[in-house]
Order: sequence, then C-alpha cells, then structure tokens
Amino acid sequence: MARPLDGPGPTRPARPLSHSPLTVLLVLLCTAGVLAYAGFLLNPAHRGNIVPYAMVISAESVLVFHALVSMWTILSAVPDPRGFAFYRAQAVMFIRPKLTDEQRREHRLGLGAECPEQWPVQLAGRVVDIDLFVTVYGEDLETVRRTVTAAIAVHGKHRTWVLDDGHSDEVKQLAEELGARYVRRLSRNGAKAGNVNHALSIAKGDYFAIFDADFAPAPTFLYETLPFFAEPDIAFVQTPQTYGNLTTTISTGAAYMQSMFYRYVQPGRNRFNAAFCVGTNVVFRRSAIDEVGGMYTDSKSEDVWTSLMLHEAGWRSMYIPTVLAIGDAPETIEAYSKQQLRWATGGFEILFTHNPFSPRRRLTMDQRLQYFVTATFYLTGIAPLLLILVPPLEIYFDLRPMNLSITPLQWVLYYGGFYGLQIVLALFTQGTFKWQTLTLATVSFPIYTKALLNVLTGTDQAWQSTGTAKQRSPFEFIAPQVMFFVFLALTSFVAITRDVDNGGLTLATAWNITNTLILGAFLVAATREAHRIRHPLAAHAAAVPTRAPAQAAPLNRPITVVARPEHAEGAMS
Amino acid sequence: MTWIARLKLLGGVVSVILLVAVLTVVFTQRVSHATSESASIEALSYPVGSTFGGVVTHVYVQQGGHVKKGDRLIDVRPTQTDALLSKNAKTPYSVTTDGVTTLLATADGSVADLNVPAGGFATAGQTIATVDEDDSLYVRAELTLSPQDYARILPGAAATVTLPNQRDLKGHVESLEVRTEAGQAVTTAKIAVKGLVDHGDLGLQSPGTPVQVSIALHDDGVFSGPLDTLRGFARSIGLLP
Repeated sequence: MARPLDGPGPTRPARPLSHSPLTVLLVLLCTAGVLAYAGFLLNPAHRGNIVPYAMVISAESVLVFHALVSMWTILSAVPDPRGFAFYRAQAVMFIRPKLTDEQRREHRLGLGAECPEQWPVQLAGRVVDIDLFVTVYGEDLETVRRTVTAAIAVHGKHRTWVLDDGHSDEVKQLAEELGARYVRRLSRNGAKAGNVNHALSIAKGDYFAIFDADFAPAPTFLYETLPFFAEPDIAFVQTPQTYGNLTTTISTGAAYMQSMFYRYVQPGRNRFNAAFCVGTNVVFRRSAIDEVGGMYTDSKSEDVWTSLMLHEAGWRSMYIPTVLAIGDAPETIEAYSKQQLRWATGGFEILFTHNPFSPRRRLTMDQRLQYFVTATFYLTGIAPLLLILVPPLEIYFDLRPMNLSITPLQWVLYYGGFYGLQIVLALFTQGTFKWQTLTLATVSFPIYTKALLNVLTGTDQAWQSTGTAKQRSPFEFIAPQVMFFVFLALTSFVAITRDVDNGGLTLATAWNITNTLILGAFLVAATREAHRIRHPLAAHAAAVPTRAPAQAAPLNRPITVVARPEHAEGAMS
Repeated sequence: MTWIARLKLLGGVVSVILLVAVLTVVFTQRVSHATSESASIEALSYPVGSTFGGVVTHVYVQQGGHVKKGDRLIDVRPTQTDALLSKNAKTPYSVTTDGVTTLLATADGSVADLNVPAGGFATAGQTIATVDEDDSLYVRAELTLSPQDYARILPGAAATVTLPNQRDLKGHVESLEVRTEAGQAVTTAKIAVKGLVDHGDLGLQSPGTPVQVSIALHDDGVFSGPLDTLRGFARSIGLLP
C-alpha cells in the first residue's frame, strides 16, 4: 500500500475509479433492466394472490429503489475531488529541516534517517498540531503493536495516542515501549465515541485522526488527507477501509459485500456533500467536532451520526478512494453479526428518530436524499426474509405472487434484467464476483430484523457479552438461520414429492431449493468456524500458510474492499 | 456453546419441524380435495305448457306454491276450435264443454315459474309454468382440474357441500361431464346430497342457491399413508368424529 514517499512531491490519485465509459454504459443498461423489472412486477395483469404479491412488491421496491439510487450515486462521482487548493497546500505541507552537509552525506550512504515523522506540518501558513488516536478494546496485542507502530511512523509531526477501553496493562506497556501516549478512562460510557471524546479532553491538537486497533495507517496518511483542510469548511476527510484477511467465508463475503460502497458509492456521495465517516481511517478538524459537541455518543453508530451532525451544522465532508490503511474484516460469525447489528441499528435510528426529510433538519435536498438512503439501506437486508417465504407459501397454500401468463424465457429476461445485470456490473467493477457475498446478503436478515425491532421497541437487545476473551460458538448467533434452514429443507422435500406426483418441476420448488442451498452453505461455514474454535491449534497451523500471502498481497495490489454494505445485488429469491 | 443455548436451538428446531408437519397436513388436505369454482343447487323440473295457442283464463297456483300430482294448474282456452275435437283420454288435460283446457301437475313439486298471468296469451308450445319436483334437489359443480387431478376423482367420491351460511352437507359424486380447455379438465360434477330439503335452512336449500363444493380426490401421495394413520389415531382418541 505504502508508495515509498521520497519527500514531498507531486501525487496522483491512486487510480482512475469509476468513470470508465464502459461503467457508464453498464450502469445505464442496469437502470433500463431495473425499470423493466419494476414495470413487470407492477403490471396489474401480473398480480397474483394478495399476500405473496404484497411481500414480493415490498421487498423488491426496497431493492429496486436502492439499486437505482446507488447507480445514480455512482454516476454522480467526480473522478478526482482534489483541487488547486489541495495541491498547493500539499506542496508546502512539510517543513523539512535544513540538513548539514554531514547529514546529507550520511543519507546518501544510507546511514542515518531523515525522520519524516518529525517534520512539522503547516497548513494555511500556520504550523498545526495533529493527534493520531488508536482505539483499543481488547484486541490482540500483536495487532495493536502493528497499528501503533504504523501510526507512529506516519509522516508529519504528530502525537500518537493509544485509547484503551480494554483496561489492559499489556497494552499500556506496549504503548510505553513503542513511544505512544496511553489513555485509559474510568468508565466505558459512550463506547468508542465516548473513548474519543475523553481523549479530546486531553489531546488538544488542531486535527485528529482515528484508527481502529486493526487498521495500520500508511506513512502517507496525513500527506494525502490533511491538505484538504486548506478549505476552511471541510470537517473531515475519510479514506476507505481495506481488508487484508480474506481467509474465511465470512470475511471474504463481508469484505466484497461492501467494496461497491467504498469504490463507487462514497465517491459519488462526495458530490452530494454527504459522504459519511465510517469511524476509522478518518481525520477530523478539531473545531468542527467541538462545534457539534464532540463525537455523537447516543448511538452505537457514532460515525454516521457524527457526520450527520456536522452536515447539519453546515460543514463539508471529503472522501478519497485512496487506500491508506489496511485492517481486518470480521472473521467470525460473532464479529460479523455484532458489526452488522451495530450498523443497521444506527441506520434505523436515523430513519425513526431523526427523519432526514423533516423540515427541522438543516440539510440540503441532496443530503436529505443520501441520508434517507443510508437510513433505509438495511431494509435491503430484510428483503430476503420476505422473498425466502414466498416459495413455501406457494408450496403449502398454492398462493402465487405473480399471475404468470408469460413464457419462462420472458420471465428469465425480466429477472435477469435486474439481478443478472447487477451481477455483471459487480463483475466488471470488482473484476470478480464472490459467492460468499451473495450468501451473506441472503442469510443476514435475522440481524437486520433484530436491529429494526430494537429500534422500533426502543430496546437494546444485543447478544450478551461473556466478558471473556473465549470465543463463542457461531451457532449461538445464528439460531434463526438454523431454523430457517430446517424449514426450507423440509419444505423442499415436500415440494419435490409434490412435483414428482404432478410430473413437472415448478419455479417455487427451484427457488426453494436454491434458498436451502444458500443457507446450507452458510451453515457449512459456521460448522467450520465452530470446528476452528474447538480445535484452535490445528486450525492455526492450517491457517498460517494461507494467511501470510493474503496479508502481503494488498501491499502490491491494494484490494479496496470493505466494511459497509451499500449495495444489494445479493438479495435473491 | 452453553447448554441453555443448545436447548433453545433444539427447541427451535423441534418447533420448526412441528410447524412443517402442520403445514404438510394443510398441504395434503388441499391436494386431496378439489374445490369448485362455481356450484349451485339445482332441481329436476318439468315445464308446463299447451300444444296450442290460447288465452290463459285462470291460474290456480302462485309462484313458489306447492302442488300435488293431479292438481289443477292453469286454464287455457284455445283459439282453435279443433282442440274441442280432441278426445284423447291420456292427455294431461281435460276439456270442458266451453273448450277450456286445464293443465295439471304431473308430479309433486313447487311452482318455480309462472310466465303468463291470467288473461295473458300463450302461444303453442310455450312454457307457461315450471314446476320443480319435490326431493329432486342436487348440486351441480364446475371445477377446473389438471389431468392428473381429474384422474383422481373416483366414482362415488365423497363431496362436501358448504351452504352460504357455512353449514356443511355430505354428498357424493353421481356423474361427471368433462371437456378440455387449454389442457385443463373443465369438469361438471353432479353431486347427490342426502338431506337437501326444498326451502330448508331458511330458504337456503333452494334451486339456484350458490354453494361451495369440495370433492375428495383419491390420495396416493407419499404423505397419504402417515396421514391416514394420524387421522385414525385422532379418531380413536376422539379428536375427530
């Protein structure tokens, strides 16, 4: 990832991202496909029984709406958000010490170091103080070491702080050993936001960056982000989350699931001035955060909420698709479930407690629309629940969603026009299509349903924390999926016997079997994970050889792959 | 995984299996029955008329009224004097000296239709009245079935007739007529129902009343054996009649 930075020099955007003419063509084709599919569903002549039809229409409306908006957002992106102000600020950003002749000679011989992490940073003609925060909460010590070491080595004079909510003496020792400042607070109120706010009461720099314990920043992190603050109305600069650990079904699925978001959607949201913070790999202007009263602590998705508060206060946000930190995607079902529950809850909170379309919000129409998309995004994760139930309704009760008077070929064309083209778009833009993504998108509905119910009932029902580092069986988190699998498998059996009696495969049976297989694949992944947890040593030995290249690979060829789903091509059925 | 979590998961799986069992019973019930698209109560009826044109001089009955075999129904005075010359004793009418012909009921029943009032003119061969025969009510049902399902209606198959007031009556298939439309068997079934009383159930058991008919299909699917066992068990413990 780290392009060796030989002193300040001209910089190019990492690579052209979204505006290949072929992307534009594909997006237009996809839009036509989506519209044709919507027209097919809404045609009154095709309406079937009211119950399954209502289920299909509500699920597909959410999917179609989000597909259309995300494609619009993709097309809205400008190729490079950097302007003259950025480049001018970047050119004079570092104040390099005058070297003595002897030092110069040493450098030429490869002796001594230039210590770019000591160079003072100036912005708008003034030397600025910068704090880098590494938030720690019980992460693996080696991971913390990697991140803190990388944070200290970031070019430009800065202070590195380890904000430890895990109250670990080992982390304290590690921070002292590496030369970072260590902060521990008495309470754990407000989770990560509370942790950062507490640190802000001690660290008084003009700008501060936040890194999760597993996101090691590149040395050029400040060099690439800080010049944006030359414009006085920028509140924060966000960079993508990139994952290096594509080793399990879960991490691969979770990572590729959201790559669309970081590579295409966030750059598009820039244009709407609605790119939001994702909690890590981000640098904030201190005065902006002070103006909105610190990081937002009343939500578990403090990142989105803080962005919303800043946008309401009239600040601008900036997102650059340049990879400047690589971290770990959730590897276990437990980590994945908790992460998704947290994000989905944050989204639904905006929808139900802070409607972006309310006249009381001080947002532009662009921002209202984008925050509405954010708030409703996780409904696309609930859509598969409705769609999974449609084939059983037909099998048991003969209730059909559509009254299909068209030929199967026509049906395939309509269906492929939406889902097929979405997959083609993903294939083209990502260069690959991962079955894990589809699986995760289809089986995660219990998490999102739980988030929705939590927000609607005002409860905070998460999975109980054991308080120990001992990993728990994934099956504790996926009981609904297990039950759905049993249900679908038995239903498939009934459907097959019915079809054998009637002498012909029906669409409902085909879909039901497909859904059973998808859930089954997920349960296989869960079983493997449970095995790994029960036999950690054997699994570790097996994992090491595959893991090392996976971590090394991104250094040569960064895979911008990431943490937040914003694209829902995965919902099937 | 804690034991409580395991038990919960096990409980969940068991309830899912039970749910599927219930749904399968529903499914088997559905596929073991064919439900009518349109069905109504019908009656055997006979039309009453005269072989010649004439003026209706007297109507002895009212619409809906009950008649016995041999009761007088209608007087017709023919316009053709030839009628006077007819002396055939076997005709269902008698001729008076002034030429008035009286039409008589040929079976017990109720008057369904009176088309010509007293003083009206009836042409030759016109139906002047219709009489529904007593105890001749049956149910006619139309069903669209797949060819496989059509083959599963056996002669004398049990049928349930549901009246508009949701009362169920038992019957059986007496005869079937079928024609094919777009590969589907459009079946017209005549259902004999015991206990259909004309104008019973506050008039609901009358000819023309719409009903719903569900005909039992011969069940030869995978689930029929276990379900029959289940049904037998339910009967033996008194859950089913």
